[in-house]
Amino acid sequence: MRKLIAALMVLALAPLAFAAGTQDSQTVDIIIGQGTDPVILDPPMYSDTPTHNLNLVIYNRLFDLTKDGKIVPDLAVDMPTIEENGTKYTIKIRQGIKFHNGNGLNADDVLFSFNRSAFHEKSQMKSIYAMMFDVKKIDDYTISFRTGKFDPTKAPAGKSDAELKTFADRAPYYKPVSFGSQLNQLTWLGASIVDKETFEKAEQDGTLKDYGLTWAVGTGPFKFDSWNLGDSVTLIRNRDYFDTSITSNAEKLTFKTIKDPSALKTAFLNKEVDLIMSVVPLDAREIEKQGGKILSTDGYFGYHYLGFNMKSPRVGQVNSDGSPVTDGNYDLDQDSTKLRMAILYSVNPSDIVNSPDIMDKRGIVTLQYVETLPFGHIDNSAGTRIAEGNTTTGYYNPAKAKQLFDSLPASMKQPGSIKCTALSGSVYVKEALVVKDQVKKTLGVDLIEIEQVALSELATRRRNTDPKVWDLLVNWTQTDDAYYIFVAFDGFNTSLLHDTKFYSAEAQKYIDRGNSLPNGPERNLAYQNAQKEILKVMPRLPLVAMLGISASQTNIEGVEISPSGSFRLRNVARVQASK
Amino acid sequence: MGTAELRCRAYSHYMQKKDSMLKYIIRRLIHLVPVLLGVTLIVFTLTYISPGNPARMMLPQDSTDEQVAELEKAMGLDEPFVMQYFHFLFGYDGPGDSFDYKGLWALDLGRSYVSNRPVFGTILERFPNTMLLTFLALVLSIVISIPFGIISATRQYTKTDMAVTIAALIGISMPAFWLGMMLIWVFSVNLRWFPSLANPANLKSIILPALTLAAMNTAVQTRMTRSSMLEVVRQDYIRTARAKGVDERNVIYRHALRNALIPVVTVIGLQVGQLLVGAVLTETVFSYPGIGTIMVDAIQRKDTPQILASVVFVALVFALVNLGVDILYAFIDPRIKAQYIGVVRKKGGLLNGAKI
Amino acid sequence: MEQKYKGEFAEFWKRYRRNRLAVVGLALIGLYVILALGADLLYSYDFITGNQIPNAFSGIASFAEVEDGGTVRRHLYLLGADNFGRDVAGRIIHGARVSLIIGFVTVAFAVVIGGSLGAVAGYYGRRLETVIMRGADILLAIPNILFALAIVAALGPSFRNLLLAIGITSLPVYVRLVRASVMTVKDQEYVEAARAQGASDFRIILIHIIPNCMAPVIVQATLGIAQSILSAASLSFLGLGIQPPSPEWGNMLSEARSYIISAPHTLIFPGLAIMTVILAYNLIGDGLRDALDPKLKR
Repeated sequence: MRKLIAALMVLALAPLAFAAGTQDSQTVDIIIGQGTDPVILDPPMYSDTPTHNLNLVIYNRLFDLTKDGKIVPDLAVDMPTIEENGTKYTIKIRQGIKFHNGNGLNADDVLFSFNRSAFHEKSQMKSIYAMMFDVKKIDDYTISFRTGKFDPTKAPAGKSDAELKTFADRAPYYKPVSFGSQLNQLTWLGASIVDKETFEKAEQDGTLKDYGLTWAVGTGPFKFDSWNLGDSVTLIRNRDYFDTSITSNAEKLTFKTIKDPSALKTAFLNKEVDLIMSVVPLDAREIEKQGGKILSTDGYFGYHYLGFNMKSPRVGQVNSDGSPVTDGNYDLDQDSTKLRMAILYSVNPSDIVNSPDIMDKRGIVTLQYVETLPFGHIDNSAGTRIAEGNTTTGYYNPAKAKQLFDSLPASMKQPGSIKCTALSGSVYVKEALVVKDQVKKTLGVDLIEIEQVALSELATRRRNTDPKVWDLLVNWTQTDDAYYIFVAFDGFNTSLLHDTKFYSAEAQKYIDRGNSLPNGPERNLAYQNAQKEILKVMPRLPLVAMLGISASQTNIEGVEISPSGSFRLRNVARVQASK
Repeated sequence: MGTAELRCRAYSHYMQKKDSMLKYIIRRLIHLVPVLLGVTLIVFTLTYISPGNPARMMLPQDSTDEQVAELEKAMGLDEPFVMQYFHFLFGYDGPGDSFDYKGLWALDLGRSYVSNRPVFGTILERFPNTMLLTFLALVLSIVISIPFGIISATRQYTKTDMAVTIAALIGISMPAFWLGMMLIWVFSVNLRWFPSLANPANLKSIILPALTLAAMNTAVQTRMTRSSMLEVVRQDYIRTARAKGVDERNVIYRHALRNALIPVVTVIGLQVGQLLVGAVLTETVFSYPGIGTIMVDAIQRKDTPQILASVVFVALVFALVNLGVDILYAFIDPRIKAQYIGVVRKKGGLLNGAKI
Repeated sequence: MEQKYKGEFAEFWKRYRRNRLAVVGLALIGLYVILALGADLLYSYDFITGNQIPNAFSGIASFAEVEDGGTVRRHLYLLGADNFGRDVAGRIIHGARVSLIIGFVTVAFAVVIGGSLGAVAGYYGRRLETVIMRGADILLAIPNILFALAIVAALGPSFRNLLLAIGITSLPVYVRLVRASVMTVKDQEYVEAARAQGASDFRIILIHIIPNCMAPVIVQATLGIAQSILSAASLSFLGLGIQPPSPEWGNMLSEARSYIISAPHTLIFPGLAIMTVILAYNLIGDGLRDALDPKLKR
């Protein structure tokens, strides 16, 4: 028996001995810590930030969006020739570019990639190509396409846009319409170029189902090496990369998944990890103290708001039969309007900015984008630009809030009667908790009940403004600070939560119009009108504008942060300590 | 805990009647079939009634109701419950190819809604990691618990005994996830001896999670060893040995220990299943890539096929491991049968509160 | 009759008292019950769920200005403050209330439903028994925490669903326990006698059988409470239990996890609370088993 125990003891201690040996290599291996596993390295199929970070360096697009938001040619030789009132694009492709497996890139690959992203059963990026048709190869290194819209008058009865499964099929039924953001959208990840030949071969030998999971072929500065499920994905340098101006000295990029934020931070402080993103502000303090480098997004990374569901009889505006009022004429004497106003005046966003747990002062209160009417007359209703935002107290006016609330009937004052939806486990939940608490303190009743939901559910809810399900919603959206608008198809973000994905038929009309115009005042007006329509369905109380925070060890250089908040790592380098 | 006790009682029923081992095994296997079917039915029903439309979740947000309906059809979600359960067990062949799968019997429930990987592929790839963690925890718990149990029993009512008893009591009362975080706080954050992230490639990093996972079992087994030793020491043959003048060390290690360990070993076997389940929380705390993290992730992302597959998989493995352990013991040592029934009847309570 | 019960209780108490640790356990639970009952007197619920953001992460035993019920006062953060500046000690005490309720309600549910099913199965036997026991077998085959996890994941996280999930998962143990006891009791002479007198089955089960198989159920229920509290904390820790800002120990730990470096006190104390309560129930369970089962006298 003692022998058995001894043997077991040895077994248990063996790992320690193993662990003593550490690997030490000369090559530069940069480790990027991420909160979740990337999902699939097949660009049109899925895109969240961790996946984005990888796909951005594995693949190239015809055009690239720089960190300053400028469009520049990437696989294309130059900017496209645009003719026929902005509806026809001709693009020349660089010659001599090779995929990671050695195959050359030509127009066939581009056509293949577009087709796949636009029509594959599981593609999430169909919207990029929603207005493209008649995509053609002119010669081996030139393609052209047109932009337009499905025209029901051209199609036989019963034929719908969804049935058209190729660009060629679309041609007879589409009428040319210009789309100002088409080029911008071709810089999105969903427009990445893949190798046609490899795909066709993989289709035959059955390995295609695992594309993006166990193998991936792009043209980018780093190529796929291995994926250790749930742990890490390794990319290695592409020595034949066409753009010789890149300055990275990394031989290997390891994207390590570390789910628990505290573990991620601990790993970073232990220098087990070189780069981390979505740093909680509180941790940023700790990181700075312990000698790491904080990287912030250049501008404010969108703004957070509290949206009101106008179909709700509690905080919205409905007729006596319960149907929503959608004409945008607000009845300021309705009880629900008063409740809306009471909530508006109860909230003090500076608490969110100052909370060490939420923003730790790395952001500002923004008064931007308030539509005055749903809330009655407010001073300074035009709001301020984000850049001019202040750290004061928003519209906070507890006396007024209380006065409005006191005039309401008891039925409107039930604790927990206002249902507020927020993305589960996110900073929005914390913001919702602040709002809930402030409303409770100001009005004396714990009105708000928070429900945490998954991303897909949140997106569905925002779309179906079902008054039985939610009254309030804490959410985020990108903005164009220059024009006070958040509905802008030039946005670089395809997130489900982005406002360009907010659907109401009225808003869609204006969005379509904006899309068909070139950049300029008219286009902005169209988007502004779309925004007004959206606000009729969901007026919002702006809360804060927040910076995206990432962190790197001090010897890491060349990390760019794209406007959407993901890493651009083509130039990432480790500076060797000079001793 | 009670589970083990009751299971044993049910089995003893068979044990007493039958004589041939083979018959016993076959009976046990037949008995297992309806249980496993029941388990799958429950898990499937839970997923079925859960709110949220998977088709809508998979589609981009701007999809029309027709597109949703089309996808529902492609995924077979428009069919009645019984048919869907049948598909779940024996496979689904829809109009398209993307959503086909061969069914649970072939360990194929299609692909994850999120990652597009075959759900069982992910599980089978990560399961060895969970097994490694479980194995290490098992070894640790044995190595720690048996010596301490013996020491405690041989020095009954001394300070050592008191210390071991109290430590074991604390062990069975400590939530594993909290213990894990405390270990991280002490050994990773403050002392920086171990990494806070566990990873099967780096065995040093698995020490903390293995300790965390082992804690509860160690405590249970220590208590078991102690009481089992005390029981044996009072028996006649030990008294005889002592009377014959065999020295105390020999009495303990030659005579008493051998018999005292039989129930302990049985309990250890039954706890293998518990360890597998306990790994769910431990893995989450240490970001360890095993089955537990798959499950928790899938639940957070509402990835239905992955939830189904991982819950069913763990439940099946749990049932099979327990069956295997039972059969193995009956096979190795028929004497255990008698011991088993006797001891568990009386001492089963010692395992109480041990389950998490 | 009453005299007899009194005597029995005194006898039981004498035996129970002999186990010093069991008495400690009882005292601990007593303390928690008192704290839970008096929670509102010590800290108002509004205060411990309300934000005091300027005081976020205040250290142990620190003083700070707080706003409580519209007035500003100086407050002692006995165990420090959490990420919203809420009093950790207050939240633990209010959390005790939640945990004790969860433990009691789920076990009561499981004992009543599971016990009835077990009694019916044991008393009537035959097909009814087969159906009930197969059902219990199936429930037992799914590991508790996994099953609870699956239920809450399917139904969505809420207090009610949490109770339901834990209640259902702890049910089968009592089915088997009560059935086994009933089977040993039902052929005893006094049951036969009652039957001969024409007592209804319901009456026989309720008056004659149940009280005679209570001992193992009581022991199991005590340990079951510990189990339920642990399960609830685990589920809340995974974000599937009680939702913030309600104070619950598991969900406090889940939030505190991010502050392991900067504010470890938010992590340590709720965990200690869970541990001591479970420990106390385990001690009581051990003590009860020894006291109720004379066969096991040392």
